[in-house]
Order: sequence, then C-alpha cells, then structure tokens
Amino acid sequence: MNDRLHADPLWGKYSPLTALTGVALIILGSSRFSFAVTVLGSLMWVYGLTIVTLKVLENLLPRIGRNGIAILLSSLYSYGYYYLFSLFSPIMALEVAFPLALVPITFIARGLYRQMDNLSLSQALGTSLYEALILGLLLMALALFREPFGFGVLTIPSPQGTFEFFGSDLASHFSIRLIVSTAGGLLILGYLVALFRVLRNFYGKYLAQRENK
Amino acid sequence: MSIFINLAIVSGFALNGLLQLGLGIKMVPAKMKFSSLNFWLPPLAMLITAPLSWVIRRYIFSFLGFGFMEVFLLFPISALISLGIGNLLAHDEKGPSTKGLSAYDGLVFAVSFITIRWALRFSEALVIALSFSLSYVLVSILVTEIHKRSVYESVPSFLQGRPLVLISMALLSLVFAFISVALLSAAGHP
Repeated sequence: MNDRLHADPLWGKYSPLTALTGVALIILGSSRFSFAVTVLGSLMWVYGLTIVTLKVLENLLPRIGRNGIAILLSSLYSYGYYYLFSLFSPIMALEVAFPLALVPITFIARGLYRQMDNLSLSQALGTSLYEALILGLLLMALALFREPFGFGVLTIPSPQGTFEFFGSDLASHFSIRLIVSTAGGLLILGYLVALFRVLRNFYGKYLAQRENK
Repeated sequence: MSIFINLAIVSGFALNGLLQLGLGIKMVPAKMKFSSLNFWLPPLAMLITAPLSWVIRRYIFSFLGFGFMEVFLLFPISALISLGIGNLLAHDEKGPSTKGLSAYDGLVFAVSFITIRWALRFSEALVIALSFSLSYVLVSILVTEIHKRSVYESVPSFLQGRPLVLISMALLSLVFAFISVALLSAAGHP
C-alpha cells in the first residue's frame, strides 16, 4: 500500500505538495488566474516536448551530458512558448515572463527525465503530461481562490492583456490584498500543505483498509 | 559609506525576496552545520554566478541582441556554474555530483535575474551578489531555528516541518517588507 501511495503522482512523494518542488512557481503563478492558465500551458509544453525529445534522441545523446542537455532543451522550449505567447498577448507575456522562466527549473528540480529509462515514449509522455497537469491544476485552484478574494476580479489571458470577469468596485473595495501578495501565497501554501498531509493520511488508511478486505 | 548603505538596502530586498518566494527552501536542512561544505555551496554559487551573469549579459547577450531570450538563457548558465562549483568542491566518489543541477532550486537563477536587472556597474553586481549570499545565510539560520522550535514546541503533527516553515516565512517576509520600506525611506527614496 505504501509503495502504491508513494508512487502516486497526486499523493506520492513527488507530488507538488509533498516534494514542494517549485514553491516559487506555485506562489507567483497562482496570484492571478490568467497567470495560472498561461503557466499551465507552459508546463504541458515544456514537460511534454522535453521528454519527447529526450526519449527520441535517447540512443544518440551521451549519458554523461544528459543533465546539461535537459537543462538547455527545457529552457529553449520554455522560451519558445514565451515567444509564441508574446505573439498572442504581448503585454501579458511581459508580466508573466518570470513565472514562465521558473517552469524549466521546476522540471529539472523534479528530475522526471531521469526516471524515464524503462518507459516507452507514450508512457513517458503520458506520465510527464499528467504531472504537469497536476501542478497546473493546483496553480489554477489556488488562483481561483487568491484572485477573486485578493483583487475582487477573475482574469483570463487576452490579446489586450487580460480579460476581466465579475469585477466590480464593491468587490475590489472588500478584497484582501494580502492574499495575492507573495506572503499571502506562502501562508495559504503552508496551510494547504498541512491539509494535504491530513488528507493523505486518511487516503493511506483507506487504501490499507481496502487491501485488508 | 554609500556602498554600505546600498548593501543594507539591497540586503533588505534580498532577504525579503528570498523569504517571499520560498526559493531555496528545500536547500536549508533541518539540522544545519556551518562546517558542512554543502551549506556554503548555494551562497558561493550565488556570489560567483550573479556577477558573471552580469558580465555575460553586458558584453555577450547585448552584443548579440538576444533581447528577452536572455532571461531564459540565465537558467542554463546558473545551473552549469552551480553544477561546476558542486563538482569542484563537493566531489563525489560515486560519479559526477548533481548538486546545483536546478541552480539550487532556482535560487541562483533568481539572484542572477535580479542582478542583471538592477546593477548598472560591475561593482553594483558584486554588492548585490554579496548581499544575496549573506541574506541566504541569515534566512537559513532563521529557517533552521523554526525547524528546531517546531520539534520542541507543542505543534500539531501535520503542521510540523515544512508547513510551519512556510507559514513562518510568510510572517517574516511581511516584517522584512516593512524593514525594506524603512531602509528606503531612511535613504531618502520616496
């Protein structure tokens, strides 16, 4: 049961809330919903393309320099995404440049590409996209809480910058700015990690009971 | 004298930046040993990489006209320098060390990013790099002390360790934000 729980990308030891890989990305990328959507796209793009390239060129690449190649590839793909995104929304691209630059760091810190040796291309791609999706959805879930309560508005990327939903003067007046600050992000993340631990404990017990039956 | 005032101001910012972003939080061990080489690797990497990145940006990137691509090239540069320092100083007999692979969880990258944005002269890049390195040491002491206290004090088990560190860092970052503003006001900035 423990092995199953530990290997799970959502609850396991590599889950974003257990390993806390990319704390900075979680905090910066979840301050606005438009940032979270953009970062989710970047995560899927960088994780997917880097893993596919590394798997396709597996036999051609020297093993000793693999880490360096993974760093270069993920950074170049990240820039590629930034460039394409800047064609769609130049103003938003400027705002989100730093969180986007943290995506390859999160990818390398997670070390997913070092665990892909025994997997086929489709399996490796599936695993990497699933992990990217989990991290991206976590960002979006946090942003759905932080932005409306912090700014009194909800934004999505648009060619003019951002498109605002549900914004009003009253909502903006009653918003709590601390929530969208990085300090607020750390506070929320701290309590979320504690809640995650409690839920993970319950889930582990549930799995153990089911196996005993 | 002005260099010390700048150092103080930048230290406030640096400390605040490190605390707020949670960068390098994974690097700080629960039990810190000052004598351990591993503890000194991230600040050393910051001290070397940030001024070097400034030089590369000033004399190579701007010459080649890389524009915004330089932000995305900073990570490979930071990671390779950090990896080089890790291999040079903390050589592992099992093979090449992977210490510094992620530029110490993005810490060295962030310091280089801020340095190339703020510094106009090489001396300023050095001051910023030095203040970030010193700030990292101070943040590490604070975080380790929080780790220790969470073991001795009656803290609920699910809050022990990293959750408590994150919450404490959030509160500390608020304090240091006010210190930064106070330092800026004292230096005559609006």
